[in-house]
Amino acid sequence: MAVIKTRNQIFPQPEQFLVRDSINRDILNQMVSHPKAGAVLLFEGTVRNHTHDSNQEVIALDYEAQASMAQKMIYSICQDVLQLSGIHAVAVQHRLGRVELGIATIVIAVSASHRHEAYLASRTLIDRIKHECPIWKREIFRDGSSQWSQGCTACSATEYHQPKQTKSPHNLV
Amino acid sequence: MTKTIEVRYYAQLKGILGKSSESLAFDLPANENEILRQLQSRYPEASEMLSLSRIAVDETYLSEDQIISDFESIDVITPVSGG
Repeated sequence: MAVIKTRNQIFPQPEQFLVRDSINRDILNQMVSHPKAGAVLLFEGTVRNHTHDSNQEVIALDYEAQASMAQKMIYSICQDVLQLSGIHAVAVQHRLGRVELGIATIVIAVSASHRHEAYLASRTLIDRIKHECPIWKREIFRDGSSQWSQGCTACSATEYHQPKQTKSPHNLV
Repeated sequence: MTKTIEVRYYAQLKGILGKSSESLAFDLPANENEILRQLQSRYPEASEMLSLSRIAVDETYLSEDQIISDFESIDVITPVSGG
């Protein structure tokens, strides 16, 4: 009789969800490998050179968090996503501190039985982490000035300014 | 009842107030809006930012109608922008 191997399905350890050094996407990808997986999907959010509401050139982002609360919330969101159909493992890392242009600020890896399950899980993770977790980014411009980001650009201003909102406004789950 | 609570500020609000934490006296029990109003009356210069903020007590967001009296810390969570 085959032994069913039980293992943790959320990677890495919660105290490694938020990191000040660069994220190794290959390691996250390997963490979610699973014999039942027919799809492994990697999402990488990166620093772009512009904002959605200004003409200034962005050269870096600077992240701050209520780290212990954010770690707990990322873990809880991962647990929720593991309840979705066909999901076998998830891995998340998010940068803190200064991140230069083009560099990954967040990497999310998921393994699922099928591709559509992987896409849904990955999008649910990134949307919920963006909308719920106490993490903030400051945009640093070429001229040396900076401003705190006004939040998720996929949301309208009206949706975004719902301070009591806890669920993703994109209604994916 | 008045209780002194450790309050922590982040990001834009930390910049407006010029501090990341302090001990403040709150009238309790209170819900989220009442805690925010007490902060707004103390810091009118941050009133708009506070009106957009959420309150976490002991590192958990308060739900809208939750009334609390016994807790150790408040985190004032301005609109988040991770990712």
